[in-house]
Amino acid sequence: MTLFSLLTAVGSDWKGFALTCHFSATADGVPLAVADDTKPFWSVPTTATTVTITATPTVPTFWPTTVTFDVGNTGALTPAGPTAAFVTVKDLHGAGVVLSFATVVLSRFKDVSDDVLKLLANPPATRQGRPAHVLQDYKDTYGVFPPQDWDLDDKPDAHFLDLPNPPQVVQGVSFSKDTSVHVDAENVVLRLAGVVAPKLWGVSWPATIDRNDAQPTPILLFLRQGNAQYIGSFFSGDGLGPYPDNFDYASFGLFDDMAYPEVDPFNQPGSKGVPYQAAKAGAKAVTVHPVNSLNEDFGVIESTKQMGRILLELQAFMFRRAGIATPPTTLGKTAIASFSSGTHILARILASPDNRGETFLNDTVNAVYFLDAPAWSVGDCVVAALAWAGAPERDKRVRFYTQDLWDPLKKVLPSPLPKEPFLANSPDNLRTLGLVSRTSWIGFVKNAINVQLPAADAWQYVHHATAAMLLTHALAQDDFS
Amino acid sequence: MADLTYLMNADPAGAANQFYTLARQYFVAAGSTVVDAPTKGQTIEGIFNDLKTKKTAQGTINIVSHAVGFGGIEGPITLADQTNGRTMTIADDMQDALANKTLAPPEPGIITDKTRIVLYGCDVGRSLNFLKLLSLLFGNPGELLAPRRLSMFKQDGTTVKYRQAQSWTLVRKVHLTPAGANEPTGGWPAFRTQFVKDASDKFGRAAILSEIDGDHRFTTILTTAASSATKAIGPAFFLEETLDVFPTGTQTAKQAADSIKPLSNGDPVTATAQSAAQVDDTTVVTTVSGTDAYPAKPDKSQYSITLILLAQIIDQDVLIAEGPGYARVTSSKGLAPSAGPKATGGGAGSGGGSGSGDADLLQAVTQQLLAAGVSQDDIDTLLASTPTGDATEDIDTDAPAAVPVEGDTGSGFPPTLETA
Repeated sequence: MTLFSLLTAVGSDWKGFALTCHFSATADGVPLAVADDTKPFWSVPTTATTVTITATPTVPTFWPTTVTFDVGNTGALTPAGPTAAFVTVKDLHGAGVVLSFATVVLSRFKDVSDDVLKLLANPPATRQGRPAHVLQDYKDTYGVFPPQDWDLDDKPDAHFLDLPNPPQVVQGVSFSKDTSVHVDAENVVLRLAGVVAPKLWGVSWPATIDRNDAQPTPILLFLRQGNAQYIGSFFSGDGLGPYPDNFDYASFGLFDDMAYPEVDPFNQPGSKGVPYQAAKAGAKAVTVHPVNSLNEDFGVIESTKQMGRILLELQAFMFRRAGIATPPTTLGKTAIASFSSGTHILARILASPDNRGETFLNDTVNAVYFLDAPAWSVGDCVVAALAWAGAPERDKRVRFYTQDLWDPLKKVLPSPLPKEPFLANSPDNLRTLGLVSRTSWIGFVKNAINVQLPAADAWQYVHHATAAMLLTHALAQDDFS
Repeated sequence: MADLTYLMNADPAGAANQFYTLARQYFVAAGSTVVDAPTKGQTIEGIFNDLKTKKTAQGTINIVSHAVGFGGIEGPITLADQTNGRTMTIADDMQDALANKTLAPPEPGIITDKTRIVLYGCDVGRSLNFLKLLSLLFGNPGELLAPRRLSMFKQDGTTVKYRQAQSWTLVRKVHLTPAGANEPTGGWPAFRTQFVKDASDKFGRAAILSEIDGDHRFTTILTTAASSATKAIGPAFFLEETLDVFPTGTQTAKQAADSIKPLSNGDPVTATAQSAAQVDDTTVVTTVSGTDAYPAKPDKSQYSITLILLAQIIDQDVLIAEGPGYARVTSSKGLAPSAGPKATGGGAGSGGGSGSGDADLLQAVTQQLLAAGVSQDDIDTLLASTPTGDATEDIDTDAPAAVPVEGDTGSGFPPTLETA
């Protein structure tokens, strides 16, 4: 019989490094006294059936964590509830005494999915001071808006890029409906503590990435367009809250990249539907969407050391929230996709002397994708990407998709190039150049939804459509296995 | 296995300071096997000889010794040293002994990586070099711990408690009290006032750095501690330590004094105090040299350096683990923290209320678990699972200097196309 039960706790990160915290505890809802809350020592009443510990870090780069235990007849504590995998407890039993030593795992991420859903329900009433109908615009695109959850519903009438089976080195371009595409995934929005940016991270974790086997997670990191172009128009003003707590970051900055429109991406290619494209491509990868800020864009992850570290943290958080207390210690193969001016940010990351040779970028990142790099960006993108890729023995993949055959892109694949439109790989599948012109897209639009795309709108439409529908090709190139 | 406790000496007959007598009572009450010092005093060689007779691996070995923060414990290294009149072991002695292999440690199997050696004496733990040398001399036990503070055994009713004291040291060229007197020249009130002023000047900078208005708070702390202090051991008291300088060879006493190289009562402090309350001898080192020596005899045949300490007892059980009270050197992973032996009648955790009290409770439980048959290995395993390192290391929170691209106007909203 236990005469008294004692409990102490320490904090750590996912990897087991120490983290100083202030601790508080309750037993059956009654607060337990503690003298030094950074080195707590509680006496647990022998009648207690449930004990709860909250660890609040002394630094702003981790979130507080609350864990709960069931108290057994011997006084031993067993982690319980949804945060059970965020604590380990070890017991030492003596005659009449049990000492429980709890290690609370704190994360740099927390789940804010519900909070961001609420942001989606609160669009601005004006743009640049003029009345706007933002909510109606989104309803027009998505049918139901704001969404009630982060599920990515089936799109039976959506057109997807056709993928020849078996894959071909050079393929033409066509689109078809595919009712078999199903995003069976856990979709969440996480918030990263204590950084200027990115604070929000969308995650779509396919059911096919089984966390029970604790294998390193393959990841597609999607870098949307840079936000400098939106200063004065989006993301701030008009009563919008500070980054990242407003409608624009939740919608334009995130939801639009994860979702597809109500019916078909051809209707509104501003919605990129990245998880849908991954599902269509059969890519066994988790898609990750950092939400860049208006002023700092992708902030800390311009350092690939930080990028890798944050993705490891994200992986560990997602494993633990799935109840797996032993996340992998490394990441699986990672691809970085970039769109529009985001391509130049990716080029900058690849070319940065601070990142050159860095372990994550050098060893873990396996592929880089450039989705319609603008004319002013494409030269830097090609130079940086090919330099990063290096010799074929490094097995690094570089894939460009474009609506214009800018001169620098001719370095990606040797001449002669196929007749446009084409999606062409090098024979070793380490390089891709996909060229689909505005003229071709106008034809695809006509075929798919029977609409004549106005020439004046074509560049902008195709710019987005390249990301919204041709990323599928890159994701089908087996870069994650 | 019961702890093994070696007393390095015995109190002189009639001595006011009953250090060894009280220590003996303390450890006997706690069930430790106490080995009294021989008539001439104990030596390290004497300890080794006794250990060899045990012929078994040792757990905790306590060594009770007067010590000084300037790096010395009572009792020489070898019996030969003792015969030659040596009464102390200092770092240089151990360095020589190790270099010359004067004294071999007990054979393997007696001192092991599970052996914990704990010194009970005064503030010798402030010299890491001293501890490392002593650990080497003992053949690299699992860990060796020594107090960073003044240490004492305190009679409390019928029991004896082990306590440490916070101290503040000043260098003086006069004894605390004139020979035969019980109070300083000018009386205790004037002495206290001057001591507080001088100590505030010496320690004040560290106090200022430790917290806003730290110097004023420090002076208040010091004034309170000194307010009733005398030579009598009480909650606070004054203590004199004397370093006598002996000439060697043809040296005169003055030459010997002048030859003294700077000597400190601890390693340089690299971490600042976090509050004025932490500003003391553990956070401000005192260094003396030949210029601090003064003629101890009217005929100048002997010089001395006098240190006056104001001490204030911390009336809490002492945590025998790396921390503010103890320094540790280790040759293996840490062993379970210990509250040391518990005096009979002394309740665990009776200090109440502080973090130290919590730690003491942990130790008390650990002791009970050990007594209940939990193995030291299990406790070590538990401790080894404690997170180490720093989870916050190398986390960047700010963006790199790179600025967003200018002239990027490429990504407006595409038009929405209604399906025909």
